[in-house]
Amino acid sequence: MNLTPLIASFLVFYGLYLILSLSLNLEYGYAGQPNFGKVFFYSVGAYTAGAVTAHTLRWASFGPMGEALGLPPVADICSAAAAVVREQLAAAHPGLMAVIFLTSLVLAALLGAAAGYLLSYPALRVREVYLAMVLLIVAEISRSYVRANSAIACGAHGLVGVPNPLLWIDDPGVRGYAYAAAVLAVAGIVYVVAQRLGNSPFGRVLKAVRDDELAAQVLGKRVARIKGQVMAIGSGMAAVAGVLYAFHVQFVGAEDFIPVITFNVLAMVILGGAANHKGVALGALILTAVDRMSRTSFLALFGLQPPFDVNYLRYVIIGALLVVLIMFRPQGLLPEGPVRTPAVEVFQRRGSA
Amino acid sequence: MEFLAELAAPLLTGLLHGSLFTLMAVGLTMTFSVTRMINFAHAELVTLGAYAAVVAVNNYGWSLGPAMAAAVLIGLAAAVLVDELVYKPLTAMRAPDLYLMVASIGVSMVLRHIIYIFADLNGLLNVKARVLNNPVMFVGYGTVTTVHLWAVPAALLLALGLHLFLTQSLTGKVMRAVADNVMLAQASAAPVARIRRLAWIAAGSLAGLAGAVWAVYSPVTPSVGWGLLPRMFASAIIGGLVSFSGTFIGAYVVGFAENLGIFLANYFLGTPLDYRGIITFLIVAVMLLWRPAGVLAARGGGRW
Amino acid sequence: MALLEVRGLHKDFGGAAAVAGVDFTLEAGAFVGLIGPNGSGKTTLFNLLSGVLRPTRGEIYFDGQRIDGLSPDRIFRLGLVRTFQVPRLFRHMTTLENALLPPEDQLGESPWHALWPKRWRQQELALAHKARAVLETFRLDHAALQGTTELSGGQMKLLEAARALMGRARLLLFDEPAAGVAPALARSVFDHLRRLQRETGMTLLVIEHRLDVLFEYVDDAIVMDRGRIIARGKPAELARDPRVIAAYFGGGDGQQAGEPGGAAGSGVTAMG
Repeated sequence: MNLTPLIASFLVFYGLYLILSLSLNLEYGYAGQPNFGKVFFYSVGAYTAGAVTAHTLRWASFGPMGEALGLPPVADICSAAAAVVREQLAAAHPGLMAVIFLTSLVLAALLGAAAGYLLSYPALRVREVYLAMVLLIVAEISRSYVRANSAIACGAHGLVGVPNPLLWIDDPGVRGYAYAAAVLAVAGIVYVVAQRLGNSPFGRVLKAVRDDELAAQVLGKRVARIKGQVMAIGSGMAAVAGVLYAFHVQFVGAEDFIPVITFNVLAMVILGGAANHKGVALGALILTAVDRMSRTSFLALFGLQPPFDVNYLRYVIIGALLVVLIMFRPQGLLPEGPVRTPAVEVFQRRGSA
Repeated sequence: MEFLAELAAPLLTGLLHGSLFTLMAVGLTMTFSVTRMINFAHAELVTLGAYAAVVAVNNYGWSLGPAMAAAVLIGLAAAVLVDELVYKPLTAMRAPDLYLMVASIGVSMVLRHIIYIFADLNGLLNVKARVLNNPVMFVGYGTVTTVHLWAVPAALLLALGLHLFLTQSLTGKVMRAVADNVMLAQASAAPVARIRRLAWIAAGSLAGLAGAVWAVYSPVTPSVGWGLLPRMFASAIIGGLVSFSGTFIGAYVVGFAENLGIFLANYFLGTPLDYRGIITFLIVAVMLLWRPAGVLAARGGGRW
Repeated sequence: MALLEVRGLHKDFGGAAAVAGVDFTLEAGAFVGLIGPNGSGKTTLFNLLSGVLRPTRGEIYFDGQRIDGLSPDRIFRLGLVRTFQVPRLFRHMTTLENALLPPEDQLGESPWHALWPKRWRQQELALAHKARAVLETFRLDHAALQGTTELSGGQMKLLEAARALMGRARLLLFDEPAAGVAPALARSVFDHLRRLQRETGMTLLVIEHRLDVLFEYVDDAIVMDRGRIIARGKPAELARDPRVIAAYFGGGDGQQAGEPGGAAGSGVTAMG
């Protein structure tokens, strides 16, 4: 049995979930802002990738690139013919795809950050429970809107054929691992960014806002600005994950962005340990494994054929995990540690002297 | 005249939705009052009620009355059970509000997907109750149906009953005190545990009833309640989460906005009907900008 | 010109006036006490001065600038710092982290600069040394790396004092520095405050129920009762002032007959 696609896919999803859970960890674990619309910002990235790819390749199909391959110009981005044209162009033009990929990443990060900053506004006015509700409503309503309007991601059908930027690599196994490596590299950068933000005076301020917002304000901290900053950073990261997701599944559709994805990520953060980056990486690893193994295709490898859709079972497990963790181990596997800045050294040196 | 005839349909649907959202959202507000937590699993209480009614009617051949009673009992039992097993222990541990909310998300996921598994195994993923939703009267292009006769009086009776309960009975007055300040009420030795139990019983029963009525009106899926949750949230936010009368107003605002509002916008401005959900979101946005504490907040101490 | 000037300050809570027409000034560099029975409006006054509450009526000028209506963080950055009666520490953070929070203009508080630790390392080390000095004053240095939940009630009070002093305060509003602190340490808190006042010219307004301690240190004191200022003067004058004695003992008002009466009693006797 060929395990390569399974392993490559596992690595890609680990990278995606790592980015998502690190971003939610900054917002929820550090700053105490329950961004339960995480999946919305994730979807912003996927829609951006879809739009950038479809429109750029449509433009290319009209020019010499399309002519050289004998391809018809794309009239309707959402058509099946357009998907074929996109794949052929992508397989023939690695440079163009690299530009599309990087542009999508940068643009998605900016759009995600802008959306996060704007939606931090309710966070300034209302308590956490409201914020959680509002962001959930935003995510659900944007999903129904995108489904109903073909302009963003081809409506209910979704945009089929968002070619992988490495489609020019012929061997699917090599391509799979190469893309996984790219995703993990981005995830690695996000990890370093999250780690540095967390262990800095900025991380200290985030925790202060979480622990006692009024006290932080009375001590001179601009709470509104800080909430906006952390929502912008977290949402930008989530949008980057959305781009990587779209190019992996080579499809963008509103129905992929349901709230349980947010809660799956929330479970990763709480399982690993909120406000602990290593813990979050561990939580993401464990639950990505659960996620990938509770799939019909995976169980079929072992001849298992449950009489119902196994996706449901996964969500029962994740939901139960959330309840059990909150009740019996809210700090997670690896509890929160102090903010590691050079200031700690000043006191440690003294202690050992 | 043509316009008025067309207007009748969204008006009647809005009235029906508003009544159903009232039955759903009042329970959400009620449990928030006693736990300071948004119970995401409230959606699944509605779904349980819907499925209880459908299964009772379709598979056991019950008539609608007993089926609705079964739905109420199932909603009630689930609500009390979840409180006993999860929320009450967490409150006893003095867990932060946010933890309770996360737990409720977990409970919601568990319940919803157990219903999914049950429905998948029994071929009930999308099912219509075998009850005739009889037209009673035609008004323009709109139809008054049996469901209207169930839901609208139920919502109005609920409103009246709640009003009498909260203003006339001692227990109701204590409940308002608890809603205002749980800690203070505890210190004054109010029977917080009893009030809490009562709130969960009421919330579960109403959600179950609303689910059953919804099942008569529209096909049922395991995420029927979850899909309605944003509307329940919007209704409750308009009420500032603590005011029952505000929630009542909120439910009808959302019900009419999503039907009458979108109809008018479509008729006069050509707004596509798909923007229905956006209207709900706009209501929430406006509420948060204009009066985050709820539409009746300016009235001062008025909790009802 | 006075550093702080308060004119006609009112605060109503649903019809009941917690602060009912307060006027006073504080000269720069003064060390002033704020006393009065429980419920007399002292803490509400602090909340108004620090921007936590908005006044119903009245004006507050700090260093010539009108500050009523400004947000608490802006008021802090102007140099008006306050503490809370019940310490509001950041619970899941260490003693050191609590102390390092207030200083302004920390480069590493910007998320962009936070990504480059070298840029803010020197500043962070300098702040850590300052924090060590302040924490040593309050005998908290050994607990620097511990979580605040491990501190005793008195230590929490001291940490809040230390935290307030990490800011660049020109006027410090101190809500009961000695409450819950061992008597000997309470005097050293006041010693420290007086030293700061003398060395840096910091202005101090201190609420304290232990008048015996307070009156040793302050230049003068403001006496509040039922939302109004009923007297202001030197400690020796106040101890003899019949209005003050009446407010503390004679009111017959259930609210006033409690704990502060006892504390004040010992204080006034000590003064006499």
